[in-house]
Amino acid sequence: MARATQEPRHPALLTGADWAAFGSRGKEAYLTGFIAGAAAEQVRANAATSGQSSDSSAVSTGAVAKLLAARDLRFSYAPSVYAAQLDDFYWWENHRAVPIVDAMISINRRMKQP
Amino acid sequence: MPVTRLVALVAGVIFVAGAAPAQEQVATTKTAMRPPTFTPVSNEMLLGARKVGTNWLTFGRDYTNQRWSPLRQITSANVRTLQLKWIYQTGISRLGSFETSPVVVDGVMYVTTPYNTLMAVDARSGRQIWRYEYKQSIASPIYCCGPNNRGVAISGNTVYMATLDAHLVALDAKTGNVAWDVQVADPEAGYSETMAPLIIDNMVIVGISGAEYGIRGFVRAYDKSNGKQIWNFYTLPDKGWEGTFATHTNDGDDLKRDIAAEKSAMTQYGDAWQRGGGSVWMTPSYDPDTHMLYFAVGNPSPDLDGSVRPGDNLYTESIVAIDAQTGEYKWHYQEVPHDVWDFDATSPTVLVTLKNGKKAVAEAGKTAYVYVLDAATGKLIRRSDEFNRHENYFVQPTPEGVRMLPGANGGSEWSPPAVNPTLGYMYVLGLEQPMNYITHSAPLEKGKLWLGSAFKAVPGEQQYGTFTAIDLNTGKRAWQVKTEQPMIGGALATAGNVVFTGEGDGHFNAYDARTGKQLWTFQAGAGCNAPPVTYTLDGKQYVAVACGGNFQLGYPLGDAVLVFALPGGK
Repeated sequence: MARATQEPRHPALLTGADWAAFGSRGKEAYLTGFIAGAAAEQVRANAATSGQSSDSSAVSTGAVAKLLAARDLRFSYAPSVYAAQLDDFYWWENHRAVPIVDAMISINRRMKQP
Repeated sequence: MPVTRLVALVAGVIFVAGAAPAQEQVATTKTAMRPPTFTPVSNEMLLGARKVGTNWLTFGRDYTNQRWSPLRQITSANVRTLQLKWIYQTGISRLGSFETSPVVVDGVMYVTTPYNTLMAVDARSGRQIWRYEYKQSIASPIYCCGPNNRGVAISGNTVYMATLDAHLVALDAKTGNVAWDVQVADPEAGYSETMAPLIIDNMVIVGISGAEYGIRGFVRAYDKSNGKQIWNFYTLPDKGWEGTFATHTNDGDDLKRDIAAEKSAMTQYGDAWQRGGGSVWMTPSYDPDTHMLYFAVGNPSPDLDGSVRPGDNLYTESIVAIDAQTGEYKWHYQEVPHDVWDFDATSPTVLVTLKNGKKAVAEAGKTAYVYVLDAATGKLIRRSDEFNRHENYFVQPTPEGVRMLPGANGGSEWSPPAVNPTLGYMYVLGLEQPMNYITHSAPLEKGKLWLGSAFKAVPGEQQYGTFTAIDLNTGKRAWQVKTEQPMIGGALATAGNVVFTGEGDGHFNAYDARTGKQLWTFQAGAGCNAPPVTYTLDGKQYVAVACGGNFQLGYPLGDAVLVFALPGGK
């Protein structure tokens, strides 16, 4: 019998409603993945800019560690820090429809401002 | 005889003899004004600070944290004539809550500002001697409650400052040159420092803040000569964090906890101590006789969601005693097990001797009670009368909101109280802020977000402040003054039976320590929301206070340190 199923949404499209349903462990896991992915993408983008490989072959743990040591990671704060900021952000009902990725970019930009 | 007095005498003789014009004698006096001496601060000076009124050598003036001075030149009889002597404006480019408690050593005053600028100032004239602007190691440190700093510690010729990005910096007290700089914890994991460090023997002691971001709090000792860590005490134990699942506070109030739900959550959240908060906001008190170090531990993390941190959440919301030589645990007293109201123990501990000779540790909680504990055992001797009202105490939030007192700010916030040991009174700053405690599904409201919490001020309800004398020997309120705005900042008590404190509207006030009668006030133009200090120079008593407001409570910001003394004379 055919059964209606809901397509799983891409993690990048999750919103504040999903954030509220995560629970603290889910939030931590999501943000850990987000921060790791962002670091990898930053390494890849740096390699592409400097004329090296533009694909994921440029990504290495060592390259991430260098950025970490230089305090040059774009998303540099711990998951718990971003979690607290997102909790604040999504407390406002009119923010709930904003994708978590967009909220993270916005929050991170604000936090990075000297 | 102090040089300035000698010069004045000589100049006076010349003037009488008509040998020099008056203008010249003034110039001579100014030129000959004694330069700062930069006296090295010895351990003996720190240990003996209680009996010597000249200086203000550490955050709480001496190891008891009583903020009590034996000086008695300014008294309840003459304080009405107190005059402004000088103002020092820090000139910092970014204002914030100005919470510094100046340290004063033989004519040199050390002042810190928001964002960790540190200045040495001539305490006689207000002239800046040197200035150090700390460069944060990350572009934008994160911190709860503003970019605050509450002061320095000093030992030998070195002055110590803890920073917003969780560093501890040692500087040459004469020049402001950095001697060493260590990272205490990772600022990008939410750790920050706002407290004034404490010197004990060869150690500089700091606590950590950041419980709003899932840190694991601690108190730590560093070698004051090189910044190497000596010991560490985590404010969240890795074993026994859940405690006894207390249904009531140690002083008898029902916490209305769902113990069954908490116990069942232990499987999933039994490791919550790893990120369970427990900031140490304020400088500890210390008993050199027993080597016991006493400090208050703040809220668990997350602040208001107890479902992910089952158990009592030890040692959050507690007074803790440890051995200052080793960091070894001695005892704790938890004011609020499993707190979901943000009733931090933030105000610093104060070591007192009661009339019966027993040493006690007193702390003014955000719960609006003063807890008086046996300093040897941590056993509750008494809980004081309430110094702010209670309504729906320990209620759970609802979507509609429940009116609750005290509000999320207390009770007493971080404000250090003062003690008059002769009277046995503790002077406590309080906030009367009725709040609605609401769940996160509350409808959108425009306004200031308070740490993402579900506490909202009740619209239209009056907020005000209290300044209360608590008799530590009985727990009774000896007197209470009501102020127009909630109180935050700190107090100073002196042997002249005067107690000083400031208000958010810029008033800096003196009260009769015995009765609470207001004796004097001065309008500073910005909130006087910092702890006052007092000291002497050339035999003259001065009172200093930073008046730069408080951003959390919306009090006018500024950057001035004001210094007062009686008119005329030396």
